[in-house]
Amino acid sequence: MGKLAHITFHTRWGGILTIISLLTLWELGSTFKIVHPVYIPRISVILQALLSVISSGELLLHYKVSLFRMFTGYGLSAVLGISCGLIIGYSRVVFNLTEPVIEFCRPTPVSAIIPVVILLLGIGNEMKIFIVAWASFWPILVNTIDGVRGVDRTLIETARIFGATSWELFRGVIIQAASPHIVTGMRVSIAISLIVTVIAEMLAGNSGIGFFVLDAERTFRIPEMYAGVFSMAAVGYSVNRVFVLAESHIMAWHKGLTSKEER
Amino acid sequence: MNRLFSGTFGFFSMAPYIMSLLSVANISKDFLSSDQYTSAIKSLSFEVEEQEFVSIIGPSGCGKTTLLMIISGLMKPTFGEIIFRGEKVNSLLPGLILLFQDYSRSLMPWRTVISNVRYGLDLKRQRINFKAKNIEKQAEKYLDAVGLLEFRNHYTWQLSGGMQQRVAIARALACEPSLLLMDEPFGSLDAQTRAELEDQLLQIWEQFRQTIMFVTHDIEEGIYLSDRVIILTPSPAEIQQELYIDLPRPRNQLETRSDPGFLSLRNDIHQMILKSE
Repeated sequence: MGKLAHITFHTRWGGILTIISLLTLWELGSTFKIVHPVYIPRISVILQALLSVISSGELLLHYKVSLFRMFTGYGLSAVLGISCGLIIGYSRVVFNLTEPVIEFCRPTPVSAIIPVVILLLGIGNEMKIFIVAWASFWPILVNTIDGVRGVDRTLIETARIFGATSWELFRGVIIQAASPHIVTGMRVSIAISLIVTVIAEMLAGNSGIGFFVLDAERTFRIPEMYAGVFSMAAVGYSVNRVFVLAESHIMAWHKGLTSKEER
Repeated sequence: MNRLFSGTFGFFSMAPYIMSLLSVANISKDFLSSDQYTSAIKSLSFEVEEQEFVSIIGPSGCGKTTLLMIISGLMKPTFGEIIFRGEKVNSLLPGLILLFQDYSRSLMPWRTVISNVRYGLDLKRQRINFKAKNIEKQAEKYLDAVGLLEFRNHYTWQLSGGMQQRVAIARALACEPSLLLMDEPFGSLDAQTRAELEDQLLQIWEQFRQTIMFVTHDIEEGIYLSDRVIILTPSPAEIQQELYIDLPRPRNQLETRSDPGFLSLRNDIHQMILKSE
């Protein structure tokens, strides 16, 4: 008994148990019509719908499009955000020139610029990729700038004492020392890029997982709509998980350093 | 010989400096803060000889760090000049390494211990033809000299404070600098670690004979380590006195520190500093 309590309250299994309980409640609530079974179908029905859209290939087709948009946009924003951030963070002159522009653009809600982008780029892939790139660009940029500007003076002076040229200082010290911040920005942005992909697909066009969910709702395929939502939860979770795993592998030194400081 | 002439000649006459490794000639440094100049250093002149161990002793905040920054070329003096091996210095000196007090901020946490020690050598390799094997060997030699060879593949933040400062010392020595500037390197260590590191530094110095300029606010530490101490006044820093320490070497924490000569030097310097305040 004590062992069971330990597993429930002190391991990961407790959290999984919570999820199972909630899904069971949902299933029962719908079965006994406590909630409207048409608007909130049983979990078992949703799972069946999920299996059928997976096996028919419909879901994968939409995901292929969505993930392409998401990762293209994200990749562009990472390349641009990191390289601009490094330059802006390194050069005081460039920082002074660009800071007001950044502070002006960054808080603009991405939804506000969608009409502008539709006007300029249409409703195809270009528009969606651009919006994803735009939204995920700012966290990466700002974190990179902060990271570079926050590099310890002592570290920079040490490198110069040992004879590092500006380029060697930049490549061998600044980028390394700023990398934890850069990675943080990238982690924030990967979540944003999924959200924005879905929003863009819901607003315009006829493909992608965002379109799939909205279309299912409009054509009253309610179980399929829920299936789409659940699949996105799973994709979002997996993407984040893969990112965190890669991060703890590549940034092992930083993980060790910070966990030591917390002690 | 040239000690007779030291300091007083100003920077127009170069001749007396030729023999010295380093001449600090009439250095002044003013900082502009809120519309007024504060003087941090006021016409300092002294010399450092080849293979000498010189300590600069002065109260906290008297401009010792500023002085080291100027000598190393990280900061420009308002007035005066630094002459290294008879030549005027305008930029960073290739043969000079400055060791900071704050080891945790000057070591690179993404590099392992051995890789930190290699840092200066890796940079050198970009310019002169320096084989990778030699770099590894040289890094190991100096890491061994500070007794940390077995920790070569650790990250620096996995080591204690004293060990981290030893890694920083090994990294500085690995470049075989002709002048090693140390800015209160043991200031943030506990007393026992400090004594250990002082002895290790002396051992290494006797082995490799690199010229060391050591800055400290600890009078006893300065006397214990050095051939000569230069005592600075409170800000703006001026030279109050230069003293030669002719205590026998090798020095020993117990014997040297209870030597009557050591005690009287300590008292003299202490009184000097008290008087100047």
